[in-house]
Amino acid sequence: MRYFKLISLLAGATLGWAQEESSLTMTNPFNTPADRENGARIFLSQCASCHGRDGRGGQGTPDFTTGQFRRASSDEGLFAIINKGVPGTTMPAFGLNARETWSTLAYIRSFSAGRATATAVKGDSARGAALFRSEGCARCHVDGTAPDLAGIGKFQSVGEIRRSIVDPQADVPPQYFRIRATTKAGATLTGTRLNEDTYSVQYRDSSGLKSVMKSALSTYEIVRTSPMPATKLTDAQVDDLVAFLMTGGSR
Amino acid sequence: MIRIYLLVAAGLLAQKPGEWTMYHGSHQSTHYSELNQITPANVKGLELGWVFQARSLEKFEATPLVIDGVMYITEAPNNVVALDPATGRPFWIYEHKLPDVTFPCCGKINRGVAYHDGTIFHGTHDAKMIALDARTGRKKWETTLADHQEGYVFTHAPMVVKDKVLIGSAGGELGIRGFLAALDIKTGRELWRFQTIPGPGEKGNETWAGDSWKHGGGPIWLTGSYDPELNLTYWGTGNPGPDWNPTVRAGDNLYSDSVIAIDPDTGKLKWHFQFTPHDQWDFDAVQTAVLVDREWQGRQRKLMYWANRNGFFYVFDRATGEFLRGTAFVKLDWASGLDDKGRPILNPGRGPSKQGTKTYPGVQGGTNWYAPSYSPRTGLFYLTAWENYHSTYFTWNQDYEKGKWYAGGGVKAPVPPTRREPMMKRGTEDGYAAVRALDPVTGKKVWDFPMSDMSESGLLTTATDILFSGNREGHFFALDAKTGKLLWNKYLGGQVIASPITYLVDGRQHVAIAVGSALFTFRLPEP
Repeated sequence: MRYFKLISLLAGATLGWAQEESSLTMTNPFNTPADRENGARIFLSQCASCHGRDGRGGQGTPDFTTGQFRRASSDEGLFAIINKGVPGTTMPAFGLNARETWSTLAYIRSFSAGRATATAVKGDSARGAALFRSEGCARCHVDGTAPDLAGIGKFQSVGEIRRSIVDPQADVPPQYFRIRATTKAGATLTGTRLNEDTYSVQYRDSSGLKSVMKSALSTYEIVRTSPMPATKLTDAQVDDLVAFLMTGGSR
Repeated sequence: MIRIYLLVAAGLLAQKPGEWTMYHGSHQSTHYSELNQITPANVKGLELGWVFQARSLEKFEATPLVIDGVMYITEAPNNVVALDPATGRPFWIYEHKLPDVTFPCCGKINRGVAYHDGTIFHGTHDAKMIALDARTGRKKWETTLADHQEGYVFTHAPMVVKDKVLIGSAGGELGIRGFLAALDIKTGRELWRFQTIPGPGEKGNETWAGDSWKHGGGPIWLTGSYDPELNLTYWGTGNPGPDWNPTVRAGDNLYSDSVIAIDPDTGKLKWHFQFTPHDQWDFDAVQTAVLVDREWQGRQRKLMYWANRNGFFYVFDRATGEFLRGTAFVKLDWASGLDDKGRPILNPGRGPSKQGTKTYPGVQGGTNWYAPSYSPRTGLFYLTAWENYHSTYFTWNQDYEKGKWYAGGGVKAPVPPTRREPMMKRGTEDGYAAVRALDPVTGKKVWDFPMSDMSESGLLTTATDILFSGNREGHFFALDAKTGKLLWNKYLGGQVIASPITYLVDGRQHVAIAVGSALFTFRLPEP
């Protein structure tokens, strides 16, 4: 409650609420370069133990450089998380005053600021869209087998997207691992690995969602490579494809 | 049965069989029960008794007590609930009002209460001990022991020894100076206090460079053990602060990462052993001191078994503190072994660095605070092990500020320290948990029950050679304590971060475990 009062005071005295009439959320009142510098100091001492100096996450913590937050998106929502913590996780409440909290948030937001425009997009988006269709990208990326690329430019850089096209094996995220297994009855199972525990594996194949007990398997392997073929496109064509993906659409 | 009567005669078993009267089940902290109705032959027939759903999404780390037909449990962070252990229906709920901001490091959790003669004792996040009337749930007294705004916070279940109730403070990541305090159970008056970090003029203060002792940490956040014959209590202390910037606290940093043997009458230190001198990895020695009387090299001795977060399993003479043996129980590379006195032989270059140092075990350790178990029937020591698990440790400079995080570095690891979601995306290549049985004589592994994900579940063994445990995946299960073979498993869909207990209601054996944000009980069908 102490912070609610502070927010109200600050809002009333200096700032006002966000412009949209329908919105009751408050935007960060301490977002100057000096605030961000102060926030950087606080981030290092209070946050970086778990979130990493680079903001890329430490142990199951989110990657701030994506600009995508899991439990809130507004400044006010993120302010509340820093001050109250997240129940059921190791994210505690912090003893920061309102200004320190806002400054820290300003710095956290700066990890992802200007992300999409960091590198000039060289290619032609329309030609990229045509390539996306003609090269058959949609076959996997739209049907759910491979990562959803809609809006990918918001949380991946030009360099990262380019690398994924040129060298698909470079960094396969665990959520796109696949399985290859043989049942004791002799059947072969393959698909996208969705979940696993000591006793069972959940996966998806062309016919749907499947769950199999490990005790029913004679072999089980996690396939950590990507099924995506190395590209035969020219550099210029890759630029076009990147331009298409950066500008939003994969559908 | 003869064994039970002997123990009672010796004053070692402070409870009736069928009750669970203190956090660790007994002062020896073996997490072993003489109950024998649930057997390897009938365990498959266990059915759900009841579920207590906490009104809290915090991690449910509490272990209940069952005394005289009533169960006492905490609902995070600081509510105390008395309920009917047969139906799960609450008799009363005490709600402790906390200040808006308190500073538990890693979640607003609590691990339970203590009981003595009609009174419940509970430590709170605002560094208070409260005493409640067990019959009414009304407060008898309350004593504030430290300033919660400096990061002092009570998370463990207190321990009653004779006419005193003992509690220590967490806060090792906030630059506290740890302590253990004893209060009069009748009045709440503080009778003595042992500072885990010695001040100027006190022995051990010379193990801290300059003023670094002032914020040296050494928290206590797990209930200790007690030997009435020796009149000694045993407590594990946590990390020195700041965790990952050891350069500002040159020296061994006593009594961080130690077991301290404290006289409960006076609060005086009888002996100590430091597991990880000048810790650089956050290897709190906050594990269960397991007290066992057994032959050691041809002579009957009062032993203490200790599986430490640093990855070594230790055996001590608990009368003198003599180190008898230490053996690695998981993959580790920060030390190459222990010398004759038990001091680790450090490998060079394993401490935290600016660019990060990958070291085994990772920051959550080879094991942690959740209970191990010792069965006098099998003679085996059981623990939850984090195998093949590493972290990358970073260091940086930071100044102390009151009530702020004071860790001087950080950690990255592919395995998260805790996890709510029932999803496991990674493989086991970055570590997995196992229920591990050690021969405490040799320190060697006897059997292993490996799991896919990590586990923060404690263990319980029984007189029928069943071992109960759970895991982060959401399972609660029973193993054969002799072989490690799976006897029974139930998926409950939430992480287990607590230790199971067993008790009798109306002569019928129950098993209880906290999973997700609820407490589950299981029992055999009515005959």
